[in-house]
Amino acid sequence: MHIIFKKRILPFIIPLFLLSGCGSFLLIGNFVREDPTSLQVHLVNIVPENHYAPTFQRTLTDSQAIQQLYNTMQVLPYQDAGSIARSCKIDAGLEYQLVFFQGQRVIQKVIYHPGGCPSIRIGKSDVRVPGKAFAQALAQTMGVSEKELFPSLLFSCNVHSPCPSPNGK
Amino acid sequence: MKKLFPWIYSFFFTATLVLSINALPVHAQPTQWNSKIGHLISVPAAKDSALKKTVQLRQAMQSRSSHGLVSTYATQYVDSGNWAGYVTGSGSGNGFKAVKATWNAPCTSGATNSQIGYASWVGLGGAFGHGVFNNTNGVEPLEQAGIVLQSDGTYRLFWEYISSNQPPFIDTKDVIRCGQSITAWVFLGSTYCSNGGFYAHVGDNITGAHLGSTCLTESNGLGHQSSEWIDERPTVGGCYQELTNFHYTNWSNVLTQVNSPGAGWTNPNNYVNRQVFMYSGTTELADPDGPSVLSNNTFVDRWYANGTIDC
Repeated sequence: MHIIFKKRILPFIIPLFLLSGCGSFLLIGNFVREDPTSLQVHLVNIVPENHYAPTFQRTLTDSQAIQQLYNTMQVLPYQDAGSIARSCKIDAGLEYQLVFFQGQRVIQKVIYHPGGCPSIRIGKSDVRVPGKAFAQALAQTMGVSEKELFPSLLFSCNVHSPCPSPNGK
Repeated sequence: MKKLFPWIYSFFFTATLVLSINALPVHAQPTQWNSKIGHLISVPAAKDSALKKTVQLRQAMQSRSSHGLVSTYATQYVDSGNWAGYVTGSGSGNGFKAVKATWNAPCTSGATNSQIGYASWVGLGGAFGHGVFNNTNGVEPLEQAGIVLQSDGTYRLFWEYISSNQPPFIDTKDVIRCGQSITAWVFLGSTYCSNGGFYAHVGDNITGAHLGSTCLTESNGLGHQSSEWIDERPTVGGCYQELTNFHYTNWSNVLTQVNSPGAGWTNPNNYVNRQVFMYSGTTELADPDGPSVLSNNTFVDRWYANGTIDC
Protein backbone atom coordinates (compact mmCIF):
# COMPACT_ATOMS: atom_id res chain seq x y z
CA MET A 1 0.00 0.00 0.00
CA HIS A 2 2.85 2.30 0.94
CA ILE A 3 4.60 1.56 -2.35
CA ILE A 4 1.45 2.19 -4.36
CA PHE A 5 1.02 5.51 -2.59
CA LYS A 6 4.61 6.48 -3.27
CA LYS A 7 4.64 5.41 -6.89
CA ARG A 8 1.17 6.18 -8.13
CA ILE A 9 -0.59 8.72 -5.95
CA LEU A 10 2.22 10.95 -4.74
CA PRO A 11 3.17 12.15 -8.24
CA PHE A 12 -0.38 13.54 -8.62
CA ILE A 13 -0.53 15.08 -5.18
CA ILE A 14 2.76 16.95 -5.47
CA PRO A 15 1.77 19.04 -8.50
CA LEU A 16 -1.49 20.03 -6.84
CA PHE A 17 0.41 20.96 -3.70
CA LEU A 18 2.84 23.05 -5.75
CA LEU A 19 0.00 24.81 -7.46
CA SER A 20 -1.65 25.56 -4.16
CA GLY A 21 1.46 27.56 -3.32
CA CYS A 22 0.52 29.99 -6.08
CA GLY A 23 -2.62 30.81 -4.14
CA SER A 24 -5.62 28.67 -3.57
CA PHE A 25 -8.38 29.34 -5.99
CA LEU A 26 -11.42 27.94 -7.66
CA LEU A 27 -12.68 29.03 -11.05
CA ILE A 28 -16.43 29.47 -11.34
CA GLY A 29 -17.44 30.58 -14.80
CA ASN A 30 -15.30 33.63 -15.44
CA PHE A 31 -15.03 34.42 -11.79
CA VAL A 32 -11.77 33.68 -10.02
CA ARG A 33 -12.50 32.63 -6.47
CA GLU A 34 -9.49 34.12 -4.79
CA ASP A 35 -9.08 36.54 -1.98
CA PRO A 36 -8.02 39.92 -3.30
CA THR A 37 -5.75 42.05 -1.15
CA SER A 38 -5.87 45.33 -3.02
CA LEU A 39 -8.06 47.08 -5.56
CA GLN A 40 -7.24 49.62 -8.21
CA VAL A 41 -10.20 51.87 -9.04
CA HIS A 42 -10.21 53.97 -12.17
CA LEU A 43 -13.13 56.23 -13.09
CA VAL A 44 -13.17 56.63 -16.87
CA ASN A 45 -15.20 58.86 -19.16
CA ILE A 46 -15.98 56.95 -22.35
CA VAL A 47 -17.89 59.76 -24.05
CA PRO A 48 -14.96 62.17 -24.33
CA GLU A 49 -17.06 65.18 -25.31
CA ASN A 50 -18.76 65.10 -21.93
CA HIS A 51 -16.83 66.84 -19.19
CA TYR A 52 -16.80 65.97 -15.54
CA ALA A 53 -14.67 67.02 -12.62
CA PRO A 54 -11.29 65.30 -13.08
CA THR A 55 -11.67 61.55 -13.12
CA PHE A 56 -9.38 59.64 -10.83
CA GLN A 57 -7.42 56.49 -10.20
CA ARG A 58 -6.69 55.21 -6.75
CA THR A 59 -5.52 52.03 -5.09
CA LEU A 60 -7.33 50.67 -2.06
CA THR A 61 -5.69 48.32 0.40
CA ASP A 62 -8.32 47.53 3.01
CA SER A 63 -8.34 43.84 2.18
CA GLN A 64 -11.36 43.04 4.31
CA ALA A 65 -13.54 45.65 2.59
CA ILE A 66 -12.18 44.64 -0.81
CA GLN A 67 -13.00 40.99 -0.20
CA GLN A 68 -16.48 41.97 0.86
CA LEU A 69 -16.96 43.93 -2.38
CA TYR A 70 -15.57 40.97 -4.33
CA ASN A 71 -18.03 38.65 -2.65
CA THR A 72 -20.92 41.06 -3.31
CA MET A 73 -20.02 40.99 -6.99
CA GLN A 74 -20.12 37.20 -7.17
CA VAL A 75 -23.72 36.90 -6.10
CA LEU A 76 -25.10 39.48 -8.52
CA PRO A 77 -27.65 38.07 -10.99
CA TYR A 78 -26.53 37.30 -14.52
CA GLN A 79 -27.68 39.58 -17.27
CA ASP A 80 -30.11 38.08 -19.75
CA ALA A 81 -27.99 36.94 -22.68
CA GLY A 82 -31.02 36.86 -24.98
CA SER A 83 -31.29 38.57 -28.33
CA ILE A 84 -34.13 40.97 -27.48
CA ALA A 85 -33.22 44.59 -28.11
CA ARG A 86 -33.87 46.65 -25.01
CA SER A 87 -34.15 50.34 -24.40
CA CYS A 88 -32.18 51.86 -21.56
CA LYS A 89 -31.98 55.00 -19.51
CA ILE A 90 -29.60 57.70 -20.68
CA ASP A 91 -25.92 56.84 -20.62
CA ALA A 92 -23.67 59.85 -20.18
CA GLY A 93 -20.48 57.82 -20.41
CA LEU A 94 -18.93 57.17 -17.00
CA GLU A 95 -17.66 53.77 -15.97
CA TYR A 96 -15.50 52.28 -13.26
CA GLN A 97 -12.65 49.98 -14.15
CA LEU A 98 -11.81 47.78 -11.19
CA VAL A 99 -8.65 45.68 -11.02
CA PHE A 100 -8.43 43.21 -8.15
CA PHE A 101 -4.95 42.18 -7.02
CA GLN A 102 -3.60 39.47 -4.79
CA GLY A 103 -0.26 40.86 -3.84
CA GLN A 104 1.20 42.11 -7.10
CA ARG A 105 -0.80 39.75 -9.25
CA VAL A 106 -3.96 40.72 -11.11
CA ILE A 107 -6.67 38.21 -10.32
CA GLN A 108 -9.71 39.88 -11.86
CA LYS A 109 -10.58 42.82 -14.11
CA VAL A 110 -14.06 44.21 -13.90
CA ILE A 111 -15.92 47.02 -15.66
CA TYR A 112 -18.80 48.57 -13.78
CA HIS A 113 -21.00 50.54 -16.14
CA PRO A 114 -23.68 52.37 -14.16
CA GLY A 115 -25.29 54.26 -17.06
CA GLY A 116 -27.96 53.11 -19.54
CA CYS A 117 -28.85 49.57 -18.50
CA PRO A 118 -26.32 49.16 -15.68
CA SER A 119 -23.94 46.22 -16.00
CA ILE A 120 -20.87 44.66 -14.48
CA ARG A 121 -18.58 42.88 -16.92
CA ILE A 122 -16.33 40.37 -15.20
CA GLY A 123 -13.55 39.30 -17.49
CA LYS A 124 -14.76 39.06 -21.06
CA SER A 125 -18.13 37.35 -21.08
CA ASP A 126 -19.55 37.24 -17.58
CA VAL A 127 -22.09 40.09 -17.41
CA ARG A 128 -24.06 40.76 -14.23
CA VAL A 129 -26.79 43.21 -13.25
CA PRO A 130 -25.73 45.48 -10.41
CA GLY A 131 -28.32 46.87 -8.05
CA LYS A 132 -28.18 49.88 -5.82
CA ALA A 133 -26.52 47.69 -3.20
CA PHE A 134 -23.43 47.28 -5.34
CA ALA A 135 -23.05 51.04 -5.79
CA GLN A 136 -23.36 51.41 -2.04
CA ALA A 137 -20.76 48.69 -1.46
CA LEU A 138 -18.34 50.31 -3.89
CA ALA A 139 -18.83 53.74 -2.32
CA GLN A 140 -18.28 52.24 1.11
CA THR A 141 -15.13 50.44 0.00
CA MET A 142 -13.81 53.66 -1.50
CA GLY A 143 -14.78 55.64 1.58
CA VAL A 144 -16.90 58.14 -0.37
CA SER A 145 -20.58 58.97 -0.52
CA GLU A 146 -22.71 57.56 -3.29
CA LYS A 147 -23.09 61.04 -4.71
CA GLU A 148 -19.31 61.40 -4.95
CA LEU A 149 -19.20 58.04 -6.68
CA PHE A 150 -21.17 59.45 -9.59
CA PRO A 151 -20.05 62.99 -10.35
CA SER A 152 -22.47 65.21 -12.19
CA LEU A 153 -21.91 66.19 -15.77
CA LEU A 154 -20.41 69.68 -15.95
CA PHE A 155 -20.86 70.38 -19.65
CA SER A 156 -20.76 68.75 -23.07
CA CYS A 157 -19.04 69.80 -26.24
CA ASN A 158 -20.20 69.11 -29.75
CA VAL A 159 -20.44 70.71 -33.16
CA HIS A 160 -23.06 73.19 -31.95
CA SER A 161 -21.18 74.01 -28.80
CA PRO A 162 -17.45 73.47 -29.32
CA CYS A 163 -15.27 73.47 -26.26
CA PRO A 164 -12.87 76.36 -25.78
CA SER A 165 -9.27 75.56 -26.56
CA PRO A 166 -7.03 74.87 -23.57
CA ASN A 167 -5.45 78.34 -23.80
CA GLY A 168 -8.85 79.96 -23.67
CA LYS A 169 -8.81 81.38 -27.21
CA MET B 1 13.98 3.81 -15.53
CA LYS B 2 10.77 2.23 -14.34
CA LYS B 3 11.15 4.01 -10.99
CA LEU B 4 11.66 7.33 -12.72
CA PHE B 5 8.48 7.11 -14.77
CA PRO B 6 6.05 8.48 -12.14
CA TRP B 7 8.29 11.49 -11.57
CA ILE B 8 8.60 12.23 -15.30
CA TYR B 9 4.84 11.90 -15.55
CA SER B 10 4.47 14.24 -12.60
CA PHE B 11 6.65 16.87 -14.31
CA PHE B 12 4.58 16.88 -17.49
CA PHE B 13 1.33 16.88 -15.51
CA THR B 14 2.46 19.98 -13.58
CA ALA B 15 3.66 21.75 -16.71
CA THR B 16 0.35 21.10 -18.46
CA LEU B 17 -1.65 22.45 -15.55
CA VAL B 18 0.43 25.62 -15.24
CA LEU B 19 0.23 26.32 -18.97
CA SER B 20 -3.53 25.75 -18.97
CA ILE B 21 -4.11 28.17 -16.13
CA ASN B 22 -1.96 30.85 -17.74
CA ALA B 23 -4.03 30.50 -20.87
CA LEU B 24 -7.28 31.36 -19.08
CA PRO B 25 -8.59 34.76 -20.21
CA VAL B 26 -9.21 36.06 -16.74
CA HIS B 27 -5.60 35.55 -15.80
CA ALA B 28 -4.28 36.89 -19.01
CA GLN B 29 -1.28 39.13 -18.77
CA PRO B 30 -2.05 42.87 -18.76
CA THR B 31 -3.76 43.76 -21.96
CA GLN B 32 -5.29 46.85 -23.54
CA TRP B 33 -7.93 47.74 -21.04
CA ASN B 34 -10.72 49.65 -22.71
CA SER B 35 -11.74 48.97 -26.23
CA LYS B 36 -14.54 51.51 -26.34
CA ILE B 37 -12.51 54.44 -27.51
CA GLY B 38 -10.71 54.45 -30.81
CA HIS B 39 -12.76 51.88 -32.66
CA LEU B 40 -12.90 52.02 -36.42
CA ILE B 41 -15.84 54.10 -37.50
CA SER B 42 -18.31 53.09 -40.10
CA VAL B 43 -18.51 56.41 -41.91
CA PRO B 44 -15.33 58.18 -42.95
CA ALA B 45 -14.80 61.25 -40.81
CA ALA B 46 -14.49 63.56 -43.79
CA LYS B 47 -17.80 62.41 -45.23
CA ASP B 48 -19.46 62.66 -41.86
CA SER B 49 -18.24 66.23 -41.34
CA ALA B 50 -19.28 67.34 -44.79
CA LEU B 51 -22.75 65.89 -44.39
CA LYS B 52 -23.11 67.44 -40.99
CA LYS B 53 -22.08 70.90 -42.11
CA THR B 54 -24.54 70.77 -45.01
CA VAL B 55 -27.37 69.72 -42.73
CA GLN B 56 -26.57 72.34 -40.12
CA LEU B 57 -26.40 75.10 -42.70
CA ARG B 58 -29.73 74.01 -44.19
CA GLN B 59 -31.31 73.80 -40.77
CA ALA B 60 -30.01 77.21 -39.73
CA MET B 61 -31.43 78.78 -42.88
CA GLN B 62 -34.79 77.09 -42.35
CA SER B 63 -34.88 78.30 -38.77
CA ARG B 64 -34.29 81.87 -39.77
CA SER B 65 -36.64 81.88 -42.71
CA SER B 66 -39.66 79.92 -41.57
CA HIS B 67 -40.53 78.67 -38.14
CA GLY B 68 -37.95 80.30 -35.94
CA LEU B 69 -36.98 78.94 -32.57
CA VAL B 70 -38.66 79.37 -29.26
CA SER B 71 -35.78 80.57 -27.14
CA THR B 72 -37.23 80.85 -23.67
CA TYR B 73 -34.26 78.89 -22.32
CA ALA B 74 -30.71 78.76 -23.61
CA THR B 75 -29.94 75.44 -25.20
CA GLN B 76 -27.94 73.00 -23.16
CA TYR B 77 -26.20 69.98 -24.56
CA VAL B 78 -25.44 66.49 -23.42
CA ASP B 79 -23.59 63.70 -25.19
CA SER B 80 -24.80 60.18 -24.66
CA GLY B 81 -23.79 56.68 -25.60
CA ASN B 82 -27.32 55.66 -26.57
CA TRP B 83 -29.78 58.57 -27.00
CA ALA B 84 -30.29 61.31 -29.60
CA GLY B 85 -33.11 63.84 -29.37
CA TYR B 86 -34.39 66.27 -26.76
CA VAL B 87 -34.83 66.00 -23.02
CA THR B 88 -36.87 68.50 -21.07
CA GLY B 89 -36.45 69.11 -17.37
CA SER B 90 -34.12 70.56 -14.77
CA GLY B 91 -33.93 67.55 -12.49
CA SER B 92 -35.82 69.19 -9.65
CA GLY B 93 -39.35 70.27 -8.86
CA ASN B 94 -42.55 68.48 -9.79
CA GLY B 95 -41.35 67.34 -13.19
CA PHE B 96 -43.73 66.32 -15.96
CA LYS B 97 -46.94 64.36 -16.15
CA ALA B 98 -47.25 63.75 -19.89
CA VAL B 99 -45.33 63.53 -23.12
CA LYS B 100 -46.44 62.85 -26.68
CA ALA B 101 -45.36 63.01 -30.31
CA THR B 102 -46.06 61.79 -33.81
CA TRP B 103 -43.25 60.62 -36.08
CA ASN B 104 -42.55 58.51 -39.13
CA ALA B 105 -41.16 55.02 -38.84
CA PRO B 106 -37.93 55.80 -40.66
CA CYS B 107 -36.86 53.90 -43.75
CA THR B 108 -33.55 52.30 -42.98
CA SER B 109 -30.77 51.10 -45.22
CA GLY B 110 -27.76 48.89 -44.82
CA ALA B 111 -27.41 45.71 -42.83
CA THR B 112 -30.24 44.39 -40.69
CA ASN B 113 -29.20 41.87 -38.11
CA SER B 114 -28.95 41.43 -34.38
CA GLN B 115 -25.77 43.52 -34.19
CA ILE B 116 -27.37 46.67 -35.50
CA GLY B 117 -30.50 48.30 -34.16
CA TYR B 118 -32.72 51.29 -33.68
CA ALA B 119 -35.69 52.37 -31.59
CA SER B 120 -37.62 55.63 -31.30
CA TRP B 121 -39.95 56.56 -28.50
CA VAL B 122 -41.34 59.17 -26.14
CA GLY B 123 -40.85 58.82 -22.42
CA LEU B 124 -40.98 60.19 -18.91
CA GLY B 125 -37.95 59.87 -16.60
CA GLY B 126 -34.71 58.01 -17.18
CA ALA B 127 -32.37 61.01 -17.29
CA PHE B 128 -31.95 62.42 -13.79
CA GLY B 129 -30.50 60.91 -10.68
CA HIS B 130 -28.77 62.45 -7.74
CA GLY B 131 -27.58 65.36 -9.85
CA VAL B 132 -28.07 66.48 -13.42
CA PHE B 133 -27.46 63.70 -15.87
CA ASN B 134 -25.18 61.79 -13.62
CA ASN B 135 -24.53 58.16 -14.25
CA THR B 136 -25.85 56.40 -11.24
CA ASN B 137 -28.07 53.57 -10.32
CA GLY B 138 -30.05 56.36 -8.75
CA VAL B 139 -31.26 57.52 -12.15
CA GLU B 140 -35.02 57.46 -11.86
CA PRO B 141 -37.12 54.89 -13.75
CA LEU B 142 -38.10 55.43 -17.37
CA GLU B 143 -41.56 54.88 -18.83
CA GLN B 144 -41.62 54.85 -22.59
CA ALA B 145 -43.63 53.90 -25.69
CA GLY B 146 -42.53 53.69 -29.30
CA ILE B 147 -41.23 51.44 -32.05
CA VAL B 148 -38.27 49.10 -32.19
CA LEU B 149 -36.59 47.87 -35.37
CA GLN B 150 -36.55 44.13 -36.08
CA SER B 151 -33.85 42.19 -37.90
CA ASP B 152 -36.10 41.95 -40.99
CA GLY B 153 -36.26 45.73 -41.33
CA THR B 154 -39.82 46.15 -40.03
CA TYR B 155 -40.82 47.60 -36.68
CA ARG B 156 -42.86 46.52 -33.69
CA LEU B 157 -44.77 48.65 -31.23
CA PHE B 158 -43.43 48.48 -27.69
CA TRP B 159 -43.69 50.01 -24.28
CA GLU B 160 -41.33 49.51 -21.39
CA TYR B 161 -40.96 50.40 -17.77
CA ILE B 162 -37.27 50.49 -16.94
CA SER B 163 -36.62 50.31 -13.27
CA SER B 164 -34.93 46.95 -12.98
CA ASN B 165 -34.26 44.12 -15.36
CA GLN B 166 -37.77 43.86 -16.80
CA PRO B 167 -38.14 43.08 -20.49
CA PRO B 168 -40.01 45.35 -22.91
CA PHE B 169 -43.61 44.61 -23.85
CA ILE B 170 -43.65 44.13 -27.61
CA ASP B 171 -46.67 43.83 -29.90
CA THR B 172 -45.53 40.81 -31.87
CA LYS B 173 -48.54 40.50 -34.17
CA ASP B 174 -48.67 43.94 -35.81
CA VAL B 175 -45.97 44.75 -38.33
CA ILE B 176 -45.03 48.40 -38.71
CA ARG B 177 -43.41 49.33 -42.00
CA CYS B 178 -41.17 52.18 -42.98
CA GLY B 179 -42.88 55.49 -43.59
CA GLN B 180 -45.92 54.72 -41.45
CA SER B 181 -47.02 57.41 -39.04
CA ILE B 182 -46.70 56.58 -35.35
CA THR B 183 -48.20 58.40 -32.38
CA ALA B 184 -47.19 57.67 -28.80
CA TRP B 185 -47.79 59.16 -25.41
CA VAL B 186 -47.08 58.52 -21.76
CA PHE B 187 -49.27 59.86 -18.97
CA LEU B 188 -48.58 59.90 -15.28
CA GLY B 189 -51.43 60.36 -12.83
CA SER B 190 -55.17 59.88 -12.86
CA THR B 191 -55.89 60.89 -16.48
CA TYR B 192 -55.84 57.26 -17.52
CA CYS B 193 -55.05 55.45 -14.28
CA SER B 194 -57.20 55.66 -11.21
CA ASN B 195 -54.25 54.39 -9.20
CA GLY B 196 -52.18 57.42 -10.21
CA GLY B 197 -49.67 55.29 -12.06
CA PHE B 198 -48.37 55.70 -15.56
CA TYR B 199 -50.00 54.70 -18.81
CA ALA B 200 -48.05 54.35 -22.04
CA HIS B 201 -49.64 54.01 -25.47
CA VAL B 202 -48.32 53.73 -29.00
CA GLY B 203 -50.26 53.30 -32.23
CA ASP B 204 -49.88 53.14 -35.98
CA ASN B 205 -51.94 55.98 -37.48
CA ILE B 206 -52.29 54.16 -40.80
CA THR B 207 -53.33 50.67 -39.78
CA GLY B 208 -54.86 51.44 -36.42
CA ALA B 209 -52.66 48.88 -34.66
CA HIS B 210 -51.96 49.99 -31.14
CA LEU B 211 -50.51 48.87 -27.85
CA GLY B 212 -51.28 50.20 -24.38
CA SER B 213 -49.65 49.49 -21.08
CA THR B 214 -51.25 48.49 -17.83
CA CYS B 215 -51.53 51.15 -15.14
CA LEU B 216 -48.34 50.67 -13.22
CA THR B 217 -47.30 51.88 -9.84
CA GLU B 218 -44.04 50.13 -9.23
CA SER B 219 -42.39 49.89 -5.86
CA ASN B 220 -39.25 51.29 -7.45
CA GLY B 221 -41.11 54.51 -8.16
CA LEU B 222 -42.00 56.35 -11.31
CA GLY B 223 -39.69 58.65 -13.18
CA HIS B 224 -41.06 62.03 -14.12
CA GLN B 225 -38.26 64.58 -13.71
CA SER B 226 -37.83 64.65 -17.46
CA SER B 227 -39.82 64.16 -20.63
CA GLU B 228 -38.05 63.16 -23.83
CA TRP B 229 -38.29 62.38 -27.56
CA ILE B 230 -35.54 59.96 -28.47
CA ASP B 231 -33.95 57.96 -31.27
CA GLU B 232 -31.92 55.24 -29.58
CA ARG B 233 -29.49 52.45 -30.23
CA PRO B 234 -30.76 49.66 -28.00
CA THR B 235 -28.87 47.13 -25.92
CA VAL B 236 -28.60 43.42 -26.61
CA GLY B 237 -26.91 41.17 -24.08
CA GLY B 238 -25.34 44.10 -22.24
CA CYS B 239 -23.82 45.78 -25.32
CA TYR B 240 -25.04 48.76 -27.32
CA GLN B 241 -25.84 47.76 -30.87
CA GLU B 242 -24.49 49.66 -33.83
CA LEU B 243 -26.99 52.31 -34.89
CA THR B 244 -28.95 51.40 -38.02
CA ASN B 245 -28.81 53.98 -40.79
CA PHE B 246 -32.26 55.45 -40.24
CA HIS B 247 -31.43 58.52 -42.35
CA TYR B 248 -33.75 60.80 -40.38
CA THR B 249 -36.83 60.81 -38.21
CA ASN B 250 -39.45 63.53 -38.69
CA TRP B 251 -40.86 64.33 -35.27
CA SER B 252 -44.03 66.43 -34.98
CA ASN B 253 -46.59 67.31 -32.34
CA VAL B 254 -43.67 67.28 -29.86
CA LEU B 255 -45.38 68.34 -26.66
CA THR B 256 -45.25 67.87 -22.92
CA GLN B 257 -47.25 68.73 -19.80
CA VAL B 258 -45.69 69.84 -16.55
CA ASN B 259 -46.78 68.02 -13.43
CA SER B 260 -49.08 70.66 -11.99
CA PRO B 261 -52.88 70.95 -11.85
CA GLY B 262 -54.47 72.31 -14.99
CA ALA B 263 -51.26 72.30 -17.01
CA GLY B 264 -51.82 71.81 -20.72
CA TRP B 265 -49.74 70.70 -23.65
CA THR B 266 -46.82 72.93 -24.42
CA ASN B 267 -43.65 73.13 -26.49
CA PRO B 268 -40.62 71.70 -24.62
CA ASN B 269 -38.75 74.96 -25.10
CA ASN B 270 -40.91 76.55 -22.45
CA TYR B 271 -38.79 74.63 -19.93
CA VAL B 272 -35.15 73.83 -19.39
CA ASN B 273 -34.26 71.39 -22.11
CA ARG B 274 -31.26 69.68 -23.63
CA GLN B 275 -30.25 68.63 -27.08
CA VAL B 276 -28.85 65.11 -26.83
CA PHE B 277 -26.09 63.89 -29.16
CA MET B 278 -25.43 60.20 -29.56
CA TYR B 279 -21.79 59.12 -29.57
CA SER B 280 -19.80 55.92 -29.89
CA GLY B 281 -16.44 56.90 -28.41
CA THR B 282 -15.55 60.04 -30.36
CA THR B 283 -17.80 59.23 -33.34
CA GLU B 284 -21.05 61.14 -33.51
CA LEU B 285 -23.86 58.78 -34.49
CA ALA B 286 -27.00 60.92 -34.52
CA ASP B 287 -28.46 64.16 -33.27
CA PRO B 288 -31.28 66.64 -33.90
CA ASP B 289 -30.78 69.19 -36.64
CA GLY B 290 -31.25 72.22 -34.46
CA PRO B 291 -30.46 73.27 -30.91
CA SER B 292 -34.15 73.31 -29.98
CA VAL B 293 -37.52 71.93 -30.96
CA LEU B 294 -39.02 74.36 -33.46
CA SER B 295 -41.93 76.60 -32.50
CA ASN B 296 -44.27 74.49 -34.62
CA ASN B 297 -43.42 71.56 -32.34
CA THR B 298 -41.31 69.66 -34.85
CA PHE B 299 -37.72 68.57 -35.22
CA VAL B 300 -35.65 66.25 -37.34
CA ASP B 301 -33.28 63.73 -35.80
CA ARG B 302 -30.58 62.66 -38.21
CA TRP B 303 -28.27 59.65 -38.53
CA TYR B 304 -24.56 60.20 -39.20
CA ALA B 305 -22.76 56.94 -38.45
CA ASN B 306 -23.28 53.34 -37.33
CA GLY B 307 -20.62 53.42 -34.65
CA THR B 308 -19.52 50.13 -33.17
CA ILE B 309 -20.92 47.59 -30.77
CA ASP B 310 -20.02 49.01 -27.36
CA CYS B 311 -19.89 46.74 -24.35
